[in-house]
Amino acid sequence: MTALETRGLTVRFGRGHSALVAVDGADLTVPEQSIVGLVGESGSGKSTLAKAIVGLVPIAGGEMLLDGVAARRRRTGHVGGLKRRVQMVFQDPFSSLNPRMTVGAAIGEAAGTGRRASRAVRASEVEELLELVHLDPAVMRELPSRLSGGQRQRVALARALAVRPEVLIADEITSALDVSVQSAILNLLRDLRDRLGISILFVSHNLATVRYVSDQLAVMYLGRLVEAGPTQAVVAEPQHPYTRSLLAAVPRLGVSIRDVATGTLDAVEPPDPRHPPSGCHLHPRCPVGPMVDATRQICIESDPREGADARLHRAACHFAPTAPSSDGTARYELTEKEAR
Amino acid sequence: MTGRRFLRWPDLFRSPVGVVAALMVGSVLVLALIGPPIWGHAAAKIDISAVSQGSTAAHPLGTDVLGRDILHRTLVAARLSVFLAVLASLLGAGVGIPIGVLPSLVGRRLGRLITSAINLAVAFPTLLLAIFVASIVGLGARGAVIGIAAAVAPYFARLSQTLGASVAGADYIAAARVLGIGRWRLMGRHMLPNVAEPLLLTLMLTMGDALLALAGLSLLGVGVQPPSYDWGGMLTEGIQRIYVTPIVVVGPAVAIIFAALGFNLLGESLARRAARREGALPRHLPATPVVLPVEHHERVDEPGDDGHGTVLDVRGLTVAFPGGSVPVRDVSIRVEPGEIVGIVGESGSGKSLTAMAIAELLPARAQATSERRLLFGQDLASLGNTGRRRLLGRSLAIVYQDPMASLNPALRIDRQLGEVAEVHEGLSRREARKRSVERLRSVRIGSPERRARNYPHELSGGMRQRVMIAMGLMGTPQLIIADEPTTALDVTVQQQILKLLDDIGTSTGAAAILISHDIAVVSQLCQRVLVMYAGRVVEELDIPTLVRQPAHPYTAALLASVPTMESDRERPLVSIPGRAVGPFDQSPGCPFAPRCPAASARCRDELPELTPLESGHRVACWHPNSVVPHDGSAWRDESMREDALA
Repeated sequence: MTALETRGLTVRFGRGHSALVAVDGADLTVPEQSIVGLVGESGSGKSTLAKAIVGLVPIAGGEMLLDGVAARRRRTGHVGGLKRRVQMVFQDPFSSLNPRMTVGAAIGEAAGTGRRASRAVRASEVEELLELVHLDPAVMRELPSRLSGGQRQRVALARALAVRPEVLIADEITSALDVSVQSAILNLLRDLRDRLGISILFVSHNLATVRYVSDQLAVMYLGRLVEAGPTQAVVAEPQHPYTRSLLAAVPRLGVSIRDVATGTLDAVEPPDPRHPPSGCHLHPRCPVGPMVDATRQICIESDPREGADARLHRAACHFAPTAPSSDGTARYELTEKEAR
Repeated sequence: MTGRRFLRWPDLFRSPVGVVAALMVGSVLVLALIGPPIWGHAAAKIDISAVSQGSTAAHPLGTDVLGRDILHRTLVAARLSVFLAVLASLLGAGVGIPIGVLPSLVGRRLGRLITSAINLAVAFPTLLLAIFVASIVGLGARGAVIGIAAAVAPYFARLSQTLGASVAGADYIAAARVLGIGRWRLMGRHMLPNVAEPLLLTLMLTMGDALLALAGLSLLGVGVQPPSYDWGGMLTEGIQRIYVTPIVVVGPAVAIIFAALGFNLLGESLARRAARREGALPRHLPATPVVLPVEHHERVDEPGDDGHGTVLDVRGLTVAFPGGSVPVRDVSIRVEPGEIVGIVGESGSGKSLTAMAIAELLPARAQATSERRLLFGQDLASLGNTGRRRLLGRSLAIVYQDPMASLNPALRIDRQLGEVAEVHEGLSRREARKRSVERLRSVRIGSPERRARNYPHELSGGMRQRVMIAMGLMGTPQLIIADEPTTALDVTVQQQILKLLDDIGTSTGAAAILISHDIAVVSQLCQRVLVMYAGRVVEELDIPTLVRQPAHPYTAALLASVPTMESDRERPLVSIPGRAVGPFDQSPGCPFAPRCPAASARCRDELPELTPLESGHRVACWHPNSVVPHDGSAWRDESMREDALA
C-alpha cells in the first residue's frame, strides 16, 4: 500500500523570465509504514517539495494522493483538507515552538483541534505523547526556553503526532542538533515507525543519516528526482552519476582526504536554478555526459526522465542500465525486502 | 497559561524613574478610585456666597461660577478623566490590533488592501481625526472617547501589522497552520502573545496621550458636557477667568500634566526595561567570579619545551566573561610546522573561542589568560601591541564558516583581497590586484581575471569560501585557522574545500587548525585531534587511534553516535543522555561525569588532568578505555529516556 504519492508535482516561484521552478514534476512514493529519505544539496528543492506536500507552498502542477485519493487543491494552489493526515516537523526546534506556550499547552492544542475533550482527558493524552517521544511528562509545565534542542525537537515531534497523522514529514530535523543528541532522534523515528505504523518522509542533506534511518531513498537534483529505490540498493549500486558523486563525497572517518578520488562534479560550478541546463540538468557537470564523451548529445537534447520507469531505481539518466523486465522486477522486490 | 513573563514589575522598581512613574500612576489610580466617594459631596456643594473666588483659606484653589470648591472638584474629576482616557486607549487598541494582525492571516490580496487602508488612516493628523469623529458621533463623553479611539486605532494597527509580519514567518506559525489551527486561534494564541510586549508599552504611552487629547477636546467644547465634568472641562471653565483669578486653572492643569506625565514615564521605563532584557546576561549570576584552580603541573611528554621551532604553543588558556562564565578552561594546544591539528566538539564546547583567543579576536568583554602563548617562537605577551598585530596580521589567516558574512558585500573581490596585501605588505594597487588574481587561480577559481571583478553575491557558496581562503593566502600565512569552513557547504563542495586546504598545506608548508563539529571531516584532513568538552580538552590523539581506540568515554560515544555509511542499520545508534554542563559550571569533578556510564565517585569530586596514555595520546579521564567504543551497550539503556530538566 502507498500512504503518500505525488504525481508530477511542480512548484514554481515567480513569473516569466525570473520564474524559479523549485520542484519540477516530482513523482515520489512513500509506502505505508516505511521511512523514505529524500536527499539533495541546497537548492535541490527537497524542502520545497516537503512544504508543498503539507500545503505551506502552492502547487503549480501535478497532484498529491493520500491512500490513492487525490488531495483537494485550494483556489490558491495550496494543498488543503488533510490537516489531520499529514504533519510536519521543522528543522529548527528553537523557532518551531511558540515561546509563550508551555509544552503541555502546545501539544494539548494540537491534540484538541477539531474536537472537544475534557481537560483531564487532554492532560493524559499529552502525557502519553510525551512518553511516546521519551520525555518526562513533567516537562509539560515548562516553556520551551527551559528545554535543550533535543528536548524541543521531541516536543515538536509529539505535537505533530498528537493529531495521529498517517504521514510525517521530517524536514532536516536533526541538522540543528548537536551530534550527541541527533542519534536519539534518529532512533526515535525508527521506533515510531515500528510502533505507530506511521510513514515518514525524511528530508536531509546528510546521506549517512538518511542511509541509516530510511527504507527507501530518493535523490533530487535541481528540482528533479533523479533516482529512487530501496536504500540498500541505491547506496550499494547507484545508477545515476549524481548519486554516485554524492556518495563519494560523504566524509569517511579516518580516510585521508588525499586518498579520496577527486570528486566528479568539481570542474564546473553548480548552475543557476532559474535557468537550468537543457535536457538532463546535470549534463554540464556530469562525469559520463557530453563533457566527457562528445557523442552523448542526447543528454543536452532530451529529458532523461522519459523512460526512467524502465530503468533500475527509476534513474533519470540516459546511460543508466535498463532493468531487465523478467528478472529485474524480481530483483527489485528482493532488495526491497532486504531493506526492511 | 501564556505570557506570564513579559513585564517584570520588580525589575521596574530598580530604576528611580520607574519608581517615580509607578508612584505617580498609582496615586492617580487611587485618587480615581477614592475621589468621588470621599469628596463627591463637597465638590457638588453650591455656595452662593463664594462665587468665582480666587485663592482663599476655605478654597485654596478658588471656586467656580456656582461657588463650588475647585480643589475638591479636581480630585473628584480624576475618576472620569482617567476612566475616559483608559477607555479610549483600550477601545483604540482593541479595534486597531486585530485589524493590524489580519494581513498576516488572510490571503495576500485582501491583506494588501487592509495594509493600504491602515497606511491611509495613519496619514491623517490624530487630533483632527478625533475631532472629526467626535463631532459626527455627537458631543459629550461618548463622542470624545470614540473620537480618540478612532484616532489611535490606526497606530495600533500599524504597529501590530509590523510586529505580526515579523512573527508570521516563524516556524511555529507554519506548524500551527499545518496542524489546522483556526485563524482566530492562530491570532489569539500564537501571534498576539508574541507581540504583546511592545503593544502593552504603547498602550501605556497612549493612555497618557489620550488624557491630554481628551482635555483638548473638552477645551474645544466637543468633550465632556456639563453637568458632568473632567479636568479638560474644568480647564475650559477656568480659562474664561484666567486674567481675573488665574489660580482656578492651576488645579486641573497640574492634574492633567501629572497624570499624563505619569503614564508616559511608566511606559518609557517599561520599554527601557524590556529593551535592556533583550540579550541580557543570565539573571542568576554567581556573586563572585569563578576561581578555577590553576595547577602548574609538570608536562613530561613534550619535547622542545621552550616552544621554539613550533608554530604555536599555547598553555593553560582560559577565557572568561564577566559574570562568571568561563567557556574555555585550561586549554593547551601545540602546532608543529606543516601540521594540521583538528579541534572537535559540540556547540558550547569552547572550540571556536579557543581559536579566537589565539588570533586575539575575542570580544572586548572577554578576558583571556594563559601561562604561555608562543607564535613562531615569539612570546605574544611580551610583544607590544603593534608588534603583535603585525605578527598576527602577516602570518595568520582565518577562514570562517559563513563566507557571505565575512566578505564585504559592497566591494569587488579584487579590492577585498588586494587590501590585505596593501595594508600588510605595502604593495601598490596594481601589484595587489595582480596578486589577488594569482591567488584566486591558486584556489582553483575558473577565469580568475573575470571573477576578481565580481561582487561576493555573484558567487556561489563554494566559490565564496575559496575567495575567503584566497584572502588568507594574500600574505604569507604560516598558520591557517579554519573555523567550520565547510559547515555551510554542500558535501560535494565540502570535499573540494578540504582537498584545497590539504593542497595549500602541502604546497606552502603552512600549518593549520581545523575546527569542526564533524569528527569525520576532522579525521579526513588532520593528523592530530583535540576533543573538547565543556571548555576543556578531554582527549588528544592521532587519527589512527581515534578510529581504532579512543580512550575517553566522550570521544567513544561521539564516534558511536554519528551514523556513517558503514553503520549497522539494524541496531540503534548510541546516544548520550542529558546535556552538557554550561560555562557557569563550578562543580569540582570531571565535566562529563553526569552523562558518563563509567563515572565513579572520584569522577564527580576530582578533575582528571590531561595525562599521557602513550606517545602522542593524552586523555583527561580517571577510567580511560572503560567503554568499548563501538558496542556502547552501557549507553543504550540509559539513552532511551532523556534526563529530566537540566
